[in-house]
Amino acid sequence: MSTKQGFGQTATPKDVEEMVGMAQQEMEYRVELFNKLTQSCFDKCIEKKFKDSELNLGENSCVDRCVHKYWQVTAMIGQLLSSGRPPM
Amino acid sequence: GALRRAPIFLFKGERRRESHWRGREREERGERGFVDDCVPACLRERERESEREREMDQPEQPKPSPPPPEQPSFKVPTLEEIKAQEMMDNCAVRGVLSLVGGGGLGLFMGMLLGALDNPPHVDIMTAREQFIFTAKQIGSRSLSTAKAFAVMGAIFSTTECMVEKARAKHDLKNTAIAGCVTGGAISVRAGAKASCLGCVGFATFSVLIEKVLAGHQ
Repeated sequence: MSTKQGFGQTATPKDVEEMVGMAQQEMEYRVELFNKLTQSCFDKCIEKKFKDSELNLGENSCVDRCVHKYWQVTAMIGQLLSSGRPPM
Repeated sequence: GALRRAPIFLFKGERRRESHWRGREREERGERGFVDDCVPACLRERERESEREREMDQPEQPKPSPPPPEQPSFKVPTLEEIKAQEMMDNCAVRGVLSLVGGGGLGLFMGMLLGALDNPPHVDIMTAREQFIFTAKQIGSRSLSTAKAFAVMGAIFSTTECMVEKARAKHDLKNTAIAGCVTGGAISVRAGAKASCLGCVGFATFSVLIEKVLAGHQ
C-alpha cells in the first residue's frame, strides 16, 4: 500500500493517519467557510420582508458581488497569513 | 328470475340443474365454469375463509403510523433554470420583451382610443365610406399608440434593470428613477420644462402602479 506514490515514498500508517486528519481539518475549514459566507451574504443582501419567493435582480447581483468579494478577501488573507506573519 | 336460481350455496364442482343454469349456452359449448358461476353469497363466504387463512398464516402486523404531512421541499435549481434566470436578468432581453409587450398593449389602447374618436362627417359620406374611414382612423391611431407605448416600455424596462443592477437593491427608488428618465426622454422635444414635468409625472405614475401591482400579494 503506497499512497504517496507521487513522492516516491511508501506510506506508513502514521502518515495515512496524518493525511486523514489534515483532510478532515480541511473539510471542516471549507464547511465553516461556506456557512459563514452564506450567512453574511444572506444578511447583507436579502431584505427580510420576503414578499416574493424568487430572488430579485438586485438581490441576485448583490449575492454575486458579495460572494466574489468574500472569496477575494479570504484568498488575500490566506496568502498574507501563509507568506509571513505580519509584524504585531 | 333471481329466486329461481336458489339454492344459493354451491359446493365446489357442483353443477346446477341444467334448466335453471345461467350458463346453459356455455355448457352447450363445452365450457367449464361451475365454480365461477356461484352467486354473491358463496363468493362472500369464500372470501371470508381465505381471509381467515391469511390471518392465521401471517402475524398481525402493526399498522404503520400515518406519514407526516407533505412539506414543500426545496429543490436546488438546475443548470437550465439558472441559465434561463440569467437570461431574463439581462437588461437587453428585458428591454426587448418590454418593447414587444408595450407594442401589444399600445395596439389595444390605440384601438380603444381610435374607436372613441370623432366620427367623420355624416352628411358627405355613405355608411360604407364612414365605416372604412373609421377603420383606417382606428388603424393609424392604434399603430401610433403602439409605437409610443413600445418605446416607453423599452426605455423604462432597460433603465430600471440597469439602475437595479448598479444599486444591487430592490426598491421603489429604481422605479422612480426609471420613470423619471422615461418621462423626460419622451417629452424632451417639447423643451426642458416639459421634460422636467414629464419626468416627475411619469415617475409618480410608475411608482403608484408598482405599489398597486406589487403591494397586494
